[in-house]
Parts: sequence; structure tokens; C-alpha cells
Amino acid sequence: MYRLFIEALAYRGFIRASISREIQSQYRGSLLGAAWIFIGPLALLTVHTLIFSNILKNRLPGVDSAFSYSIYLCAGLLPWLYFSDTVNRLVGSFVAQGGLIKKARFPRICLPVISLGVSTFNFVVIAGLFALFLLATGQFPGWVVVAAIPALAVQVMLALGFGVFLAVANVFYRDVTQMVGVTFQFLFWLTPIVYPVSILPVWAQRMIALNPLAVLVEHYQTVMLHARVPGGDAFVRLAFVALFALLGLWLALKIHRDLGGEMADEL
Amino acid sequence: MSAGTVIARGLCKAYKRYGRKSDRILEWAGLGTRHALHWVLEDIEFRIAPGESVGVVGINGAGKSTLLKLIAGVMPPTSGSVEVQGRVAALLELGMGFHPEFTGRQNAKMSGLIAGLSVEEIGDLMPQIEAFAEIGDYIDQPVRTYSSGMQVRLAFSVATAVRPDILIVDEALAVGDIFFQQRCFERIRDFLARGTTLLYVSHSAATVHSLCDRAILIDGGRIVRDGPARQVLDLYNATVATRASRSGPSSIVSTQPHGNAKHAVGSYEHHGVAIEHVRVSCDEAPAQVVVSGSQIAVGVTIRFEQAFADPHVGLQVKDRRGEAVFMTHTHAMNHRVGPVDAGEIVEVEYRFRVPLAPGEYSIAAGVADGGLIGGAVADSLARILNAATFEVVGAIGEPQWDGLVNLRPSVSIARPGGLEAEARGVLVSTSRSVLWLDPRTRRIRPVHRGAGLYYGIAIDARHIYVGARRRMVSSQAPAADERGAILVFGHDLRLHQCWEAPFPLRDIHEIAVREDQLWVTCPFDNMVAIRHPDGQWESWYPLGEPVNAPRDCNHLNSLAFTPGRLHLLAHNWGASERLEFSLPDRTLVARSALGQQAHNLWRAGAEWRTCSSAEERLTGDCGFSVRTGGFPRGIASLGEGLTAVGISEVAERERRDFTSGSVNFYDADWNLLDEWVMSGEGLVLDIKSFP
Repeated sequence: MYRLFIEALAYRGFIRASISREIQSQYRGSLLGAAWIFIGPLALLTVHTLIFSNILKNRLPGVDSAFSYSIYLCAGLLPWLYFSDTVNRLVGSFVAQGGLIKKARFPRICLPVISLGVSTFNFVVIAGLFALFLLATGQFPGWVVVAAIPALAVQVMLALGFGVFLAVANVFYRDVTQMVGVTFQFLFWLTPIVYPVSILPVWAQRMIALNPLAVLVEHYQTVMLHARVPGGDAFVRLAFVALFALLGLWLALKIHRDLGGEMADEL
Repeated sequence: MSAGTVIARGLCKAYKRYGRKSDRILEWAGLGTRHALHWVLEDIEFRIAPGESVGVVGINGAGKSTLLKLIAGVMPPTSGSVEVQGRVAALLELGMGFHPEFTGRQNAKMSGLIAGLSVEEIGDLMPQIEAFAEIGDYIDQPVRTYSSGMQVRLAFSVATAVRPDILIVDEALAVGDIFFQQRCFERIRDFLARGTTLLYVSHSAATVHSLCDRAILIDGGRIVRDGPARQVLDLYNATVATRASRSGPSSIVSTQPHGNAKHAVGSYEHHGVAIEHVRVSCDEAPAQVVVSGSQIAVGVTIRFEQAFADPHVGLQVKDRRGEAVFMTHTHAMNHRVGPVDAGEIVEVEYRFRVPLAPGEYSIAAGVADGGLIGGAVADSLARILNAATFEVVGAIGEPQWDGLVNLRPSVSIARPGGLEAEARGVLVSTSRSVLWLDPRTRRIRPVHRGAGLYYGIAIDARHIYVGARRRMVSSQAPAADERGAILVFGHDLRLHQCWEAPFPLRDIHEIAVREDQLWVTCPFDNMVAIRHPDGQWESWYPLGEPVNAPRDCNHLNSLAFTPGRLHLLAHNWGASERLEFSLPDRTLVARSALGQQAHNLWRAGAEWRTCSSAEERLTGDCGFSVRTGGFPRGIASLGEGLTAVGISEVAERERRDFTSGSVNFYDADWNLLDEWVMSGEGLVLDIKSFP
């Protein structure tokens, strides 16, 4: 692990340049150029706040503000998008850079770092816009947002672990990306992002509680909407999720050690 | 282990082949081995020292690229190990990591980062990368706008921006135009010269030849031969040729035979064909050594043991490095041998010129069957390498050249101004050579060299006479031991004869020819030697034979003739004099002062003139004076008022043979028109116009 970190550090120039290149390539050759970095997230936020708040006039039980549903939605949606973006990028990264892996000698650990870097950048942009929106509407929860950071860290670990594991698997079984895509479809609805968990029957609520993403999302929602630090039992649940994330990381390291050398043969 | 070493020990690589897709997961999950191993490389062992250049050859699928990837560290070995010391740059594919939408500059940066350079290093190297890639402003355009040649140039430029300790090249250079390939090889050679170890994979034996001293032949994943490049490549060529042959197996010579050069490594012979012998001849006689540019004949005798329908005979001329200088066969030359029966003997002779660089060359002879449209042959039956050898030596007297082949160019120089186009040529004799200068074509033609100083030129209707001192000014031998001679050239500037007198001709200065008599001044003895038409020599002492040493009292160095009179110039080691003798009795009738330490004597109108060497000018007894500077000696009239004067550098005795004099050309008013410097020729001693 430590060695991997050192190797990645040596190649930090490459990592930085690759992240920048990937971000740029999203809007390269387009008319609006770099504005697209903001246009996408802005559009998403606008739709989800305007439509749900004003047009559909959703309201959350127990909370009265006009924006409460929007905030609830975005508190879950944005980290979810971060998570799925990270995992999707990770899973396809080895195959996408197959040419490089086959012919060049460089630490492969760079590729997951690059994927994470790009998705983090996208998340920071949209989270920043969301924070501005909150500030503008006076709904910013204040210093409590710091409590979201441990959850974010666990989320990143989770994404990295399973992402890299699936990335290696994807090299040998190319439909892994599709499988991941389908899984996320279901996972989205198994996570209380769009709906409050309280509207589900109790047995369903217990099932949902097993979903690590549900735990994370609940954490964010508590911080952003209710503007308070989650309680002790929430942190206990977070700790379980952290363990689960560690399992993912262990699997990732193991498969990379075992099959990493053969990846070059399959690419 | 120093940087640049590569050591492979028991290196093996296998790919896993799974029966079904799911077998791989099951195996990983711990449910037993479910794969079969397909071995691509087995038992690879070698040691490459820093600075070696090694070629890796083999047919497609032999495992060469896999081996390079293992050495480059792109993939791990299945068993065994490969140790590499130092920085490795692997050109396994050019344009790795190039994103079409980004500019050349951005892609170059990215490639540099992948190769492990830091951002600052790349910034420093960017000007050099741009310069080598030579794509101009395109470097700031997206790569998708590049032609494939430009992409490859940029990729190579980036990949070789920093000299690595080990350079691995996998046929990536097969693309690109000839200029690019030449520059690639230049850069690779530059790296080699500075100590980089090179591993080069190619199908092109010629490039492997030119880059590598050592080669490794891989076949079926194993090393078949590891040795000097030439041997291994011959074996490789033989393998490829026989594999393609339809006539059945041939035996390939693969071990170095003892002393039998006829069957060198890589030779093979189908059992139905025997190349009996191959001989090289020049001018109808067997030749071992030939002069570059001469014509030789190569005869090949073949005995056919069985019948063939359309046999052809070919030859290859290879240089000492094994590079094929030329190859052809009867079919390519649109000739046919015709059907042959068992037991027939056929002789084929090739005649050609060899304008090649000096060195050893070998001839390989081959026999094939079946000529195809387009010039190729179907089945290679036999090839004997090193069937005959010959050596090419430089042609003396021909223009100097270097390289592989003498292309024999002609050159013309155009310049405004300078001498009149009608200026005649001049023969010049110097400390080192006799030269002919042609002001019109600006050409110098050496006529003779190596006979010491050349002093004294005389020309008559049939011959040119030059005095050859056969010693140099700087020579340490006693002057009294000098034995000069007269070289006789024809008007074609070829040496015909060499005349010597029965007595020593020492310190020959000017000579003159008149009515088939040759007059030779020998100032050492205060003597003039005369050679009569019948070949008899006479020694004449104009001022009496000196008794004491040194005998060179007057240093009589020049002569001139007027009707009934002979004039000698006495240098006198100071105030010089013109001595006038009546002919044919040779009595002294007058002496008059002329010049200081003077050389040369000629008449212009009523005036006698000389080169007053001590005064750095030409002077005459009626007031003529032209300042030349330097040490004037030697003068010739070229017609139309043009005069050539030899000017030597003033120097100490030891240095005189190595100075640079010049031939100055003056017009009728004694304006200097041209100064032709004779670099390193030493003193300019005599000049005569010719033709």
C-alpha cells in the first residue's frame, strides 16, 4: 500500500495532467467550451429545485420550508452522483487506457487516482454551486457541514475499493461495466434519495438499512437539511460501512496483485 | 552492475488459456487450476553489457515483442527473471497516449510524463523536441490534424528527448519517410556512441546490420543463436528462405565450419544442385585485389544433379559488415538459363565495375528455380555465402571520396568576377607536388607527388620535364647526398621516364629545354648539367669548377636563351647578377647586376627582369619594379598580358615544406586579379604555362 502511494507520488505530474486532460476532453471542440463544467450541474440543480419545489410542490413531512425537499433531494443526489461517477469511471479505466498499459511502463495505480480526481472535481463544482444556492437562499446549515466529511471519506474508500476491484474484473469480463450500470439503476431506488425512508413499510426500511449507501445518504441529509450532527448510532452505522469499505479495498488489492500482471495480456 | 546492463536468467513467459470464460473467476476464487499454459518464451538466457547494440530477429510470432516487453517491464515474467539497470526507454509503439483532440505540445507533455519525466524537465526539453520533430506550427494544432508521418516524428522526438541507459526499439521505426528514418538512426547512433545499450527488433536485416554488433535469433520462443550480427542474420535469412521454399528441405549450415570458407554459416544447398566454384577475375586473370572503379568478372560454375525447369543463378556482393552492396540474378536481368538435365554443368559470368570504398568484399552465389513475373524467383535452391572474396583498394591519382560507392560526380563552379575565361592553365611545382591549375574550371589536378621537392619545369613539343630533388627542405640528410632526377611526362601529364645523370644532380633549380638538349642548373656544384639528345650527360662549370667546399659560390639558379646567347642568373647569396655566355662555345661575355637574392630570368622587350626575392618584388634592369610581397619565385606568362607569379611564405628552414604559398595572377598592368592559395604545399618553386 505504502509502495503504491510512493509510486503514485512520483507520477503526480502525470496524474495532474491526465485529470486536467480528461476534464478538458469533455468539452473540447464544443461551442461553449469550459462553460460546460458549470452548465451541466447548474441545469441539474435548477431542474431539481425548481421543478420539485415550485412546480410539483413536494413537501417533506415535518419540515416546512419551500426548499426543504430540494435540499433533501440534493443532499442525497449529489453524493450519489459522485459515487456513481467515481465507480463508473474506475470500472472502465483499465480498459480505456489499455493501449498505455500494454506498451508503457508506469505505475498502474495512477489510473484509479486519475478517475477519482476527475469525479471529485465534478463533485466539487456541483457541490460548490449548491452551496452558493444555499447561501443565496439563506438555507446554508453553517459549520455543521464539516460533519459530512467523515462520511465523504468513507464513501470515497467504498468507491475506490469496489471500483478498482471491478476495474480489474472488467478487463477479463468486459460486461462488468454494463452490470455495474444496471446495478446502479436498482441501487438508486434502493437508496432513499428521492423519497424519505419513512414512507416505506417497516420491513422495507430494515432492508434499506443494510444498504451502505443509504447510511451515507442519511448522514448527508441529516447534516444538510436538519442542520445537526448525526447522532451516535448514525456514526455506528457509518463505522460498519467503513468496515465494508475496507473489505472492498482489501479485495481490490488482492485481485490487483493476483491478476494485475495478466491484464496486459488481455488488453 | 552498471547502468545499461540487461541480464535474463531462465526467462519464461506463458499465457493462460481458459476453456471457458467463467473458469478464470472460479480459479481465482480458489477452485483449482483450470487453465492451460501456452508458452511464448522459454529459457531465455543472455547478458548484455552496457553500450552493446543487440538486434533481436525472428519470424513473426517467434516471441520477440514479448521479450522486449518483459525487458521493458511492461509485463511480468511467468518464471525466471530479467534484471535491468538504469533508465529504460521503450519505443514499442509510437504515439502512445496521444489524444487526437489535444495539441502536439500537450501530447508531448503527456508522453513525457508517462515516461517518468517531471514537468520542469519537459519544459526544458520542449525546444529540443520541437526542433527534432520539425513539424513547425503544427505543434500547437490538435494531433488529429497531423499526417501519420508528423505524428511519428513527434512521438519519436518526445520518446528520445532524454538519452536513456537502455533503448528498446520494436520496429516502431518502420513507418515514416526515408528522411525521418535516417534521422532516427542518427539519433540512435548518437545514443550508442554515448554509451546507451540498444535492443532493436526488426525484420529488416539491413538496419540490424547497420546498427547492431550482436544479434539474437529467436524461433518458437527460444534463442536459436546469439552471436555476431552478421552470422546470426545470415542464419535468419537462410531460415526464412528455406521456409518459403517449395522444393523440400535443404540443409542449412548453422555452425561455424573449420577453415572451409566456402560453406559459411547460413549457406545451404539443395541436394540437386552443387555450386562447384566461384571465381573473381580482373583483366582475364584471377584477382584478389582490385582497384576501385576497375571492372571485374565473377564466374559461377554450377553442376545440376537433377533436372530443373527454369533455374536461375544469382550473386550478392557484400561488404565486410555483411551489408549487401548489390545483388541480382539472371531472371532479374531478363536472361534465362533454360531447362537443365541431371548432370549438366552451367557457367554464369557477371561483369561489372566496382566503384566501391576500399575494403574487403565477399561474393555469395545462389541458385533458384522458377522465375516469376516481376523479377522474383520462386524456389531458392542453394546459397553459398563467402563463396569468393576480393579486396578493393583506392585508386591513386583519382579524386578523393568517402562513403560506400563512388558516384563519380562532375562539378562546376560559377562565380562572378575573377580571371578571364580564356586564361590558360599553369603547371606549378612546389615542395610537395607537381600540380596543374586550371583557372577556367577552378580545378587543381595533382600530377606527381612523393619525389621530394620539385624544382624546375621545362616544356617542349613532346614532353614536360620536371626536376625532382628527391629530398625535402626540412630533410636532415646531408645536402651532399642528394641525387636529383628529371621526370619526363607526356603532354597527357602521365609519367613516361625518369632520367638520372651519371654524376649527382644536386639542388636542381631551373631547367630549360632547347633543341632537344636539356639544361639543368645544379647550384650545389656551381654547375649546369646538360643532357644531349643521345642521352649523354655533360657537366659544365660556367665559372670554373669550385675547389673548396661549399662549392655553391654563385648559386646559379636560372637560365634563359636569346639568339646565340645563354644567360644565367647568379643568386650570389646577395646582389645577384646576370651572366651572359655566347653559344655554342659557352664563353662568358658579360655580367650585369640584377636584383637581390634573385630567382628567375626573363626578357621583356629590351629589359631583363627577375624575381628579386629578398626585396619582395619583381625588378628589372631598366627600372621595372612590381611589389608582390612574400618571396616571389617562379613566373609564367599566360598570354593576353596575364602573368602568374609564385609567392612563397618566408619561414625558417624546418617549416618551409609545410607553409602555404600562392600563385598570383596579374593582368597586363600588374593589377592582382587572383590569388590561388596552395595550402600546405610548402614553397612554390617553379611555374610554367601549359598547355
